[in-house]
Amino acid sequence: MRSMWKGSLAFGLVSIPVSLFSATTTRGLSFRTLHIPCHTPLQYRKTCPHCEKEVPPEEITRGYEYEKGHFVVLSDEEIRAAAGEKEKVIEIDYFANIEEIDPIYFQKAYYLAPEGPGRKPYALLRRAMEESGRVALASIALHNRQWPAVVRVYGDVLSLSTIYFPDEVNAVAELPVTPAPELREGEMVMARELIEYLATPFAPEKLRDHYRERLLEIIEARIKGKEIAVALAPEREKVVDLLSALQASVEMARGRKEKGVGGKSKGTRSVTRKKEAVAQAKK
Amino acid sequence: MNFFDRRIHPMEPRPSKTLPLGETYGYQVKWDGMRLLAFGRGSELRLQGKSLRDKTSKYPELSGLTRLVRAEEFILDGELIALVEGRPCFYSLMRREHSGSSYLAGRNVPVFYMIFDCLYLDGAWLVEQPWECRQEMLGGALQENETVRICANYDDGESLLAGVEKQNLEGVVAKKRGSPYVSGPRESPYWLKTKLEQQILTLVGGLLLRDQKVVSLLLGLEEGNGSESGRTATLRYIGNVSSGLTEKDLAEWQKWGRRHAVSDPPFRRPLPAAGREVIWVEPLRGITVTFNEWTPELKLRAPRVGLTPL
Repeated sequence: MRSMWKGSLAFGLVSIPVSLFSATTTRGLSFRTLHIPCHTPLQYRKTCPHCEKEVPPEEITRGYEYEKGHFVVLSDEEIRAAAGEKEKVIEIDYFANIEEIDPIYFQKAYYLAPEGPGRKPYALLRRAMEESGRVALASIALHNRQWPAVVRVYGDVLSLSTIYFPDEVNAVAELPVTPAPELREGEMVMARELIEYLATPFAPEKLRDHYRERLLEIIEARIKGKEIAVALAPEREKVVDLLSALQASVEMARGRKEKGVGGKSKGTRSVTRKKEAVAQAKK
Repeated sequence: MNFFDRRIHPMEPRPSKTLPLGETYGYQVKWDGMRLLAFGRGSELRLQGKSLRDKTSKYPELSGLTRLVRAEEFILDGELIALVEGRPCFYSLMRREHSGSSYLAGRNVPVFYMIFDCLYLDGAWLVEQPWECRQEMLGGALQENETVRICANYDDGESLLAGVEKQNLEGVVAKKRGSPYVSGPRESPYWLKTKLEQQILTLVGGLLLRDQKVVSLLLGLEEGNGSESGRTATLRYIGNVSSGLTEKDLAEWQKWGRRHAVSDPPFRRPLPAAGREVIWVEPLRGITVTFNEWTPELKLRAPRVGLTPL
């Protein structure tokens, strides 16, 4: 795993050097878009309808459309500066109980690993948080914006989950729900029994991505079909060929050495270098 | 802790300008790839890299390794290499290492596991055993197949170095007979590696100017093996070369560059030589450069043209 960010975890007067790793990987299948007649992957070109030309990256900036057709121009640097992304600090504000945060708030999970001198204060903070059972409410600048975040103990490490601002969670009131109908006790008993009947501990290892498996099966079969159809398919690389070529070269070198014929006359420069290497070692 | 879950720094050879000779050493090819430890327990396999990171899911084609070892439990040490046109290609291995999908990557970049040591077999740690004894145990425990090989041992280092050079391989490691397996990351004097210089054919995608004159060439390799036919290749930047080019060579490149200049840089973004003056050229002309090794960022270390002395 590669760290995506190095910075510090600030907690009161203490600042702990940490690096941030993505805690999850989405394993979808990605497809490229092709032109049907020739199967060429399509290219996306950024064009300007006004100048009628393709636009190179150095001519692209951002604009906020405050009114239809009217923009406030902002550079990427300005946007990053506003997010505080240069700061590279995870600022802890306060500690709370995790039950107080509804899972709907959680956005994306990361791992925090201590860097060099941060090992000791990191271990201290992790242990203290574990003992208190509390999680930290913090903030972090990532991907051009500021995120509230929850830092908590996950196994031997600390994890960080970015969370949504309350105004990013859509209000339930906006749903088209009619007033709750009356429920009869008999129906409730049945519903409760059904739930108890299906109750099983959560087993993530049993989750299977049937959609992905089915698609991969199709892809595999097509590739295999193609290998049969195309007679000139490149041959699979073989290491044995290289190994036998090496063996032959080694035996040839040994034979020459025993006969006493050396690469004195027409050796290339690197051979000369190697002979020197060996000669020096013999001294 | 159970042997299976241990994080082990593999034994590191010490670099040596000259190959030490004598009967006290055994010699092996130094393969240009990625160090990999394989932990096996029953049908369970765990792969671990030099930096202790887990690689198990990256290389699913090695999952059959447990069936090739005649032991219930083992730890093996070796080098994972990728072959392109029959030659080890570190560049392709790193491209695969950094690509997201291991599923179809194996088809495009086949890997081979060149095994050269054995740390643990069925409940017994072998690290204190002499090197030649571990080699014997490895030979007896592992059955080779197409993908998994045992590194051959040679008694004659000089001939092996000549063979390695002839086959354009990376170098030779001399291993002291009777020596134990000393876990890294500190380099051990029991193993000494001697590297040869390497050569690669690159495409020139730009000419770097200073005071209107070409001073070095921007080198690249084609992305995606050039399989997307019908379009000009996009280059991945791998470094600059100026060492070994004479004034005459540079003037000739400048003349050629003027004829083949393009406005659209052939390199993938971000562009190399940012803020400098560059003539971008159509990547039509190749040049073979000599270099010491790949840097972790996949750039050439100390590239030079021709056979210039270091």
